[in-house]
Amino acid sequence: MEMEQLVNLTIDNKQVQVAKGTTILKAAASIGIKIPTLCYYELKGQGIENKPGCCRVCVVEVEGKGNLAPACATNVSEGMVVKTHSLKVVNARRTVVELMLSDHPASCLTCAKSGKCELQTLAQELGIRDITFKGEQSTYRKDLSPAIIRDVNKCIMCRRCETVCNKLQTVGALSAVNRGFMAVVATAFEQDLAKSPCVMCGQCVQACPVGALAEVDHTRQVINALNDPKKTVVVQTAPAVRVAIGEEFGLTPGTRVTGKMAAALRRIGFDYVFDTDFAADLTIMEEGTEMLGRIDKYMKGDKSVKLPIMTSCCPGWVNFFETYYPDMLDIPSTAKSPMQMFGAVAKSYWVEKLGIKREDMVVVSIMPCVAKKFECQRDEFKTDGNPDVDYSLTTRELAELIKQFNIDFNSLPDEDFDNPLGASTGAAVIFGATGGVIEAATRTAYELFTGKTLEKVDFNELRGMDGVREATVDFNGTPIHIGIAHGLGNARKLLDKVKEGKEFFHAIEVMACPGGCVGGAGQPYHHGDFTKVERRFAAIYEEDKDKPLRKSHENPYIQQLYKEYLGEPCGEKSHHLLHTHYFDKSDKVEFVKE
Amino acid sequence: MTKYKMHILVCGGPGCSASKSEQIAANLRSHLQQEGLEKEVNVVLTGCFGFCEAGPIIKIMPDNVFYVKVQPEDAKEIVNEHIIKGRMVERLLYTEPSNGQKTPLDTDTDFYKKQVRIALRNCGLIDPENIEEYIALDGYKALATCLTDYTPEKVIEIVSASGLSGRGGAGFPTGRKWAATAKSKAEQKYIVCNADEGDPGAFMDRSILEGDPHSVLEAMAIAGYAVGADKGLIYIRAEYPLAIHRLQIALDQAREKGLLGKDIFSTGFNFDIELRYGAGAFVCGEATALIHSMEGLRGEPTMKPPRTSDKGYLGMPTNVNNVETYANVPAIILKGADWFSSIGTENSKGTKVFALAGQIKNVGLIEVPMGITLREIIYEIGGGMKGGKKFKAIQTGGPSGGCLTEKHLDIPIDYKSLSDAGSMMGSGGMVIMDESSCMVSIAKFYLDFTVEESCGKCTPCRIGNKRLYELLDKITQGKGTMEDLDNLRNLSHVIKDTSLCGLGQSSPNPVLSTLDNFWDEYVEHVKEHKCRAGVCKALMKYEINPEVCVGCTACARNCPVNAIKGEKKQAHQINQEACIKCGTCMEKCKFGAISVK
Amino acid sequence: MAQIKTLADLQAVKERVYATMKTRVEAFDKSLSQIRIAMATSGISAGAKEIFDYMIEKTDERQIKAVITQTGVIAEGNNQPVVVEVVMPDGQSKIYENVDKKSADAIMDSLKA
Repeated sequence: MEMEQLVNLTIDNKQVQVAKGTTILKAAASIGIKIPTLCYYELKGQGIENKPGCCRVCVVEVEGKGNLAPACATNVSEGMVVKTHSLKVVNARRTVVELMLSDHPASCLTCAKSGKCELQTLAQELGIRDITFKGEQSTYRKDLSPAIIRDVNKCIMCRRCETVCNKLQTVGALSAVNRGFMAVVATAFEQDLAKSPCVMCGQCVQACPVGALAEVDHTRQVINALNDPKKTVVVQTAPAVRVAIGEEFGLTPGTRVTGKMAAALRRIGFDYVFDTDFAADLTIMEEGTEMLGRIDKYMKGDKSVKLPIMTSCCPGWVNFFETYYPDMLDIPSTAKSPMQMFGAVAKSYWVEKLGIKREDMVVVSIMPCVAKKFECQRDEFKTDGNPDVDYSLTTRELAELIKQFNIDFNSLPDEDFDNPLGASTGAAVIFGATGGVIEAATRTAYELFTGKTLEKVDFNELRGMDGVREATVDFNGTPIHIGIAHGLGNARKLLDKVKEGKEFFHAIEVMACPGGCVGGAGQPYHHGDFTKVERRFAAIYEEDKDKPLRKSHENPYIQQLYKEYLGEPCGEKSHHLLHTHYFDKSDKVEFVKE
Repeated sequence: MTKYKMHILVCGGPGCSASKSEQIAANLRSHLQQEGLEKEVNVVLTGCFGFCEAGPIIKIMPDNVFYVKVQPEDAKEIVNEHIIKGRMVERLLYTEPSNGQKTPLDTDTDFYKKQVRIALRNCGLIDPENIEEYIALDGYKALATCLTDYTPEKVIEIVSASGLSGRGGAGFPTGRKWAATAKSKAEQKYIVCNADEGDPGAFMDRSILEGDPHSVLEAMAIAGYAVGADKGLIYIRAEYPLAIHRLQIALDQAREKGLLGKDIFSTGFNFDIELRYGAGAFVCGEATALIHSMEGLRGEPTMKPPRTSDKGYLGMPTNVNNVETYANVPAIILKGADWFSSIGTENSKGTKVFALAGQIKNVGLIEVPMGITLREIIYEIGGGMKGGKKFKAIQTGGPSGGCLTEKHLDIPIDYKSLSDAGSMMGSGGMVIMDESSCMVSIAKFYLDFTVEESCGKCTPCRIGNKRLYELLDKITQGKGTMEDLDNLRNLSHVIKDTSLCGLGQSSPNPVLSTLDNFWDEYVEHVKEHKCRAGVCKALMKYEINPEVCVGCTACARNCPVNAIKGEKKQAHQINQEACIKCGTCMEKCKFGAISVK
Repeated sequence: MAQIKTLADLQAVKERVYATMKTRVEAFDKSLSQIRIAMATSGISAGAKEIFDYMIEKTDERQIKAVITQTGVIAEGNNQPVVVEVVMPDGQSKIYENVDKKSADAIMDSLKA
């Protein structure tokens, strides 16, 4: 075995020994010295590290070097002597941040990122009270897509969005344009984001340290609906929200606040507090049945059936394959996402039950997601122009709403969701983590396929944080090959293998965001601390473990729904209400290739 | 083959071409033909002679007589008088500014006397579109010698021992760069020639490529042999069409002769070169930015390490040198490291090509040994200041160099001494200024360039340079404060200390050097609202002397903004608020009543 | 164009082409002696042109290292036909008057030594 080479150096008069190839930034962190950063952004464990060394906030003095070195992008060397807060460093760091502020709108009061803005925090930490260098500010137009706002005036050229868009997601909608003072990150030819190859996954919003990229805010529309006496307002919350929203109220990442969240939603004034998890169980019934049907036909030699079947509950992923894999549109499951299934059921079954008109019901979803804002606006999810889901809010927007309604979140009692559309199993909860959808499907499919009771519901081989995972599940003698990817770049790797015929899978699960929905773009900002996502991930499985029922088909309300209303999974009514189809959007990519 | 008795060399450099030197060559040829002399006298369109001030230039060899400011119509007289009758055409001879004498022999002129031409050795002497003329002057002999007699290690040893260093600006030792690329292990390595000459006013690389393209091709092949690369790339600005054209011809001819391609000199060594076009972004002179641009990525620099010698083009070890550096290499191989290192100073060996511009008599391209003084360059080669004005400053190193003054004129110049003096060698731009230059405006002028050319990647360069420019602008408007001067200095230092690449690390040099050397001038602008050079319009004040004004109303009638009021036959006044300082009134006043302060 | 595959090939091209460029290149070479022939009107009528051509031919033949150039009037007031000035590399110069082919041979011989 090769010995790891160690390097000795001194940082702020402290001796430190680290592995060769370590940056000054990490060497300092290892002895508790935090060097401020801004452009640096790491998704640890996901192979993503943005360190262009361009903001120059993390500069330090290295003895013997004439100019200052960026700690994030400078490797340590033997005998190096580093000062992280010499007079020269502090002056330079302050000046650099002042320069950034001098070309940044001072509209903090109404900025989407105010309070969460890393530039704001930095300015405060460095004690900047006045900007010495005032001058012209660069200006650009604002660009609104259905899900994302680009307020490019606020761009500080940290390139974090560019790295996630290109390296993590391989979408390539954003890159640096213009030169010099006018340089910013934007779309090619500065076209509208909506016309670019953007899939609206929103990881750029999650990565942006300032207010240059933010989700489109829908809280006002939701408040208006709540205040409209004619409307029955129904809310559904996605599984990943309950393990993350606590962070917005100072709780440790991974704190499960399902009961408090339900209580808060009720206090805000939603008429029915339901759970997307219910629809997740429903998705398993539909998708699981579709999957088994396809596998069965395939095994019997039906050439018209293609495998693998791919999950389709992630809207960023759906946009991605519609844009980049238009030749594979017959492979994904036709099952709608849980959010859309919920909307379809709420605006048919539930309005019938309540005896109200479809137009008088407003369905609001709380999602860890930015792309859901686009998904609910898709034409195929509307009836006579009325959408199945009216508004989709991010986890962050819900937190803001709770604060606006003056609710002391932490002191709320735990409350339950309303029934029937609030009941769910553990299988639904794990939809919030990478590998969860396929595990939930496996739990149900196994029993349907083999006719036997599944004794061990935990499929550890499907869990984990590796970007691309493969596993084989034994269906009573029949090996079922499963592929899992999270992050669209990883999905691309997996899909290319399938396309080239290098590997065969029965089923593939893809989530656009790293970690799955727990790492969703609509979740509280993690500012590059990916351990937060890992804690939410762990909490999802704890939530699953604590559920009395852990297989979707065991959900009694689901059984009741089929009996009363839908008939059977993948039956005629289900097909009409719960399934969809996909569109070729590859022309968007062509434009960029020009 | 014809043994020509005489050769007429016609400068085909950028300046002379613009003044119809091709037409001159054509006319000479047709007159020679008329006289039946085309077999005896050879007309060659060469690369740049360097003496652009006097262009278009032609030289008659072997007489070594050179004619200046030649027009196409002069061809007949030159043929009839000089070629046939052997009489020099007096009126086309050059007049030496130092003594007013007609100087027929170019080697006798002050402009050429102190020059030592290594990189430019063939420029102006050979036909750049004919590989055989290059070969006739020992072209490709250095490559042959390396391939057949030397190991790659030996080649690097010679280049290292010669003391040659990067002529593009930074002055990194060439031998060390080659050694680093040679040391990197990889399947594929690349040799890149940086021909993205971005400094305004600098045209040495262009002149070499236009006048002697094979010297660069040969050197790249030598570098390829030394470091273990079989592929070369020349990154050249698309705005250099003639250089591109000549390079393409040179590449074709070298391939035809088997001097590029497979199994060169039957040694099994393969090497070929491709051209890549840049859009002429100044920052792409930086090696990492250049490589990103060649890869089709945004032309912006990345952090070093990794150096390009480890990870360059397509992630492979890449040796990047500029045109002038390469042009020196064949001469070093043939004449030896000792010969080269005997020229120059302790710190810097060999020669450097400079582009002289500004308020001196002889502008043009010169190649001088390291260690020459600025005084020699300005007063001997440059012929002194134009119009008898007083020397004020010399700006060296291109837009991010510094402004040096009288007290620096006797420093023997090399990389270190220029940098110690607060400027730099850069790629060799030299702008000489007289007292009509305002140093605050000069600093502003250069900052305007760097603001324009910054790639925008790092904060200090993207925003800091803009703010420097704005502060300088404020001072030239007479609105500056003493605090602004402090801020100017602090910000300059921060930009130098924190910028990512050489562009930002040097862009404040014009500001810092003028603050250091011309502090009084800054203070005058701030405290007295005075621009001693009379350049800053906002600080100028036109005044009418009521004693002299006769009230003719000419000034008032001609003022474009109606800023002058007054009754007929009464003294007029200028409304200073409205005045745009165009100077029309002063021009129109027949009585000399208007003055500017 | 024939390929150049050896140093000898290269040398052959060099020699062939150099011969055509000699008069151009060697003017720069300060290590060579210069033979300057006065070719003002009087010189030409006295046969300076023939001497010029003769010396170019013969220096090559006899492999004498010298640059032959034409110039205007050599030395003020000198009206002797066919005047030749030889300038040595060290700057010393000698003027020959009334040069004919015979004395031209002698001049060239003096350089050979």
